[in-house]
Amino acid sequence: MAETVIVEDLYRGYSGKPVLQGVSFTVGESEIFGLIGPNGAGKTTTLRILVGLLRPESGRVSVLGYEPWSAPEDFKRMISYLPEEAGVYKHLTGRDYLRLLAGLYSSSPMEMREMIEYAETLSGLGRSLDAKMSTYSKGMKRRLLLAATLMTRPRLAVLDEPTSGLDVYYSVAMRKAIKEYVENTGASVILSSHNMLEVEYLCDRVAFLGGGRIVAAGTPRELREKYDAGNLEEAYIRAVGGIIGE
Amino acid sequence: MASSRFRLLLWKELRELSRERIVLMGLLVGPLIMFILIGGFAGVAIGKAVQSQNKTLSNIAIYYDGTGSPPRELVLLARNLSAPIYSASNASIDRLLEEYRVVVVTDNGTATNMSMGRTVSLRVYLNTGSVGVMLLNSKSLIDTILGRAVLKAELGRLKPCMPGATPESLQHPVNSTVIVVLHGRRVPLEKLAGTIMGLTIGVPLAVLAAAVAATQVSALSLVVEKENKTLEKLLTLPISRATLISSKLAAVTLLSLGGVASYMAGLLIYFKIIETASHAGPGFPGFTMSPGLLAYTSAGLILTLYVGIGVGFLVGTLADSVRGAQIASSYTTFILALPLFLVMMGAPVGSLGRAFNALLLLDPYSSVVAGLLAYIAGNKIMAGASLGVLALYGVIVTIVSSMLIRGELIITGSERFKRLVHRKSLGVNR
Repeated sequence: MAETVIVEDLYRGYSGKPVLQGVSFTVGESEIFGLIGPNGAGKTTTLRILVGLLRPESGRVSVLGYEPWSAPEDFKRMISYLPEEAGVYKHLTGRDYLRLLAGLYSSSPMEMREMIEYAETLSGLGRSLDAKMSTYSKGMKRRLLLAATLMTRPRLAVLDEPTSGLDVYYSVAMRKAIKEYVENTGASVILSSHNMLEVEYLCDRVAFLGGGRIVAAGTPRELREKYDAGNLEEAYIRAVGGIIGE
Repeated sequence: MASSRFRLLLWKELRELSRERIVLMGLLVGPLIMFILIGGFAGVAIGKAVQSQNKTLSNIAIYYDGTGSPPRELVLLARNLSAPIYSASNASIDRLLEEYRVVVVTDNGTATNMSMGRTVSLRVYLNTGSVGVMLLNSKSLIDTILGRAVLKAELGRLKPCMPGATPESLQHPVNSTVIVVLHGRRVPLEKLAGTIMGLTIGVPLAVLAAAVAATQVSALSLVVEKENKTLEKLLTLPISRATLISSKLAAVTLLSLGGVASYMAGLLIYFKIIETASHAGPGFPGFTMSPGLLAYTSAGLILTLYVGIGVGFLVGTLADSVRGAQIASSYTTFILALPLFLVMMGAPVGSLGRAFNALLLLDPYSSVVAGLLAYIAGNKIMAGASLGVLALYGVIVTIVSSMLIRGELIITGSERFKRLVHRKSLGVNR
């Protein structure tokens, strides 16, 4: 299986305070990879480096064969990023926003229409798409943003807490959509989440981040077995607990 | 019960607000510093202006434009002014203007009016190297100085036999027509009034408006993205940073131009109201500009706008909230525009001294006004240098802005800035 993402010995800090201290992992094609860790573990920093928003202090990063921070514009067409606390443009309608993004990613009016139709269905916002986004609830905004992230057909979707703020029904629907998207397109997804149920359901492989390093990595089943845990939550606590307690 | 709740809430509000640095800066420290700084600049400006005017008005010559030798009244007048008296036989007005700052033109009629106690009408040439608000005061000062001399010369001795004397003529013994001589060009002061007001108040206010509008709008264009949490997504979209900058720049420029246009319209109405209210009529003509001057001012305003946008980008990168960006951009603009007060308070730009001229030239928001006044005064080198400096600032802000938006500082800038300020305030050195 070809590697979509290769991260080797990644170091990064803020104002002298280390955040990532030698993080390494890979993500293959058609794989959903989960980054799990407590707040401040460096999940968002890692994801920001993968999409080219930040540069590492040292280490190697290859995403679809490119160094993200120095990659050409075409690279950005192949990835799509959903930040954890992503907001919306208050004075645009949901449909305006979809049109804006589809216009930037598509190469023909037909493709643009298809993208928008896909996002309309995926978001399930119906007629609310014609309302200003300032009137949306937190869940509605998240549904729209997630739909907009997937509608561009990225080869790598980077999702930071994709279902945060969504109710049970939409969380289930979104997880299903992410899974279907990967199965249908062969794309890769790298996500971070605090929701272990979500991680267990979605991810082919998972990495536990703690103290700026990958503490453990494997399939959810491997991790459960390794830490003799009934579920991923217990495995996570056993794996990371020591680091937190240090 | 209700009062204790009120006290608790009041305590909470005061504690929260008083520890907010921006509130403290905006409400307490800012105004204090602002007025001290304005006072400092105004003091220098007024001092220099008065000094310059005193120097000007102490260098007077009387020119007798009549037949024969100057009448006794005029000789007395010259003596009271400690001024030499010349006549057409031994001098010309042009030659006198090369040597004296003020040349008062008299004739036989002047002497007759003086002896009759009538109001004396005089033509006065005022040599000046620079245009400033204080010039508008010249007429009344000249009338006062000459009036005193006229009264001293004739009034006491001849009062009993002055048939033409009226209370009005005694109160206003002289009514001068001042002609400003600016590098050889002669312009009646009354025709220059609107232009002076425009150059020393209108243009600086327009510059301020351009700077404030551009800085605020461009700072907000970034900070709103940060506050709404749309920036990260925007930066990962398949658009080059150059496209991102240019689209923001275009939007900010259009909005800022709209803001400046609105400001200028308000200013013109303001001047119109003053003109109407003061019943000044045609004696107070509006701000008139030659095509060259208009082109120069427009170029200066556009460059100012551009510099303001660059400053706004810098503020927007370092600020993390709309409120913070608004306060920071206001204070930044104010500090950068401080030297403008030298011009607005009437300092004679031509005779400010090297240090102040350098300050005006190097300050991005004062440069265009200093250049404009230099242009009027015929100092083309200073005028060109001012635009050159502004253009240089434009290039610098373009480079800095593109570096800011290209790198990751746009994401981490505010956090780094906060840490830096926090560390400085704790006295921590790393």
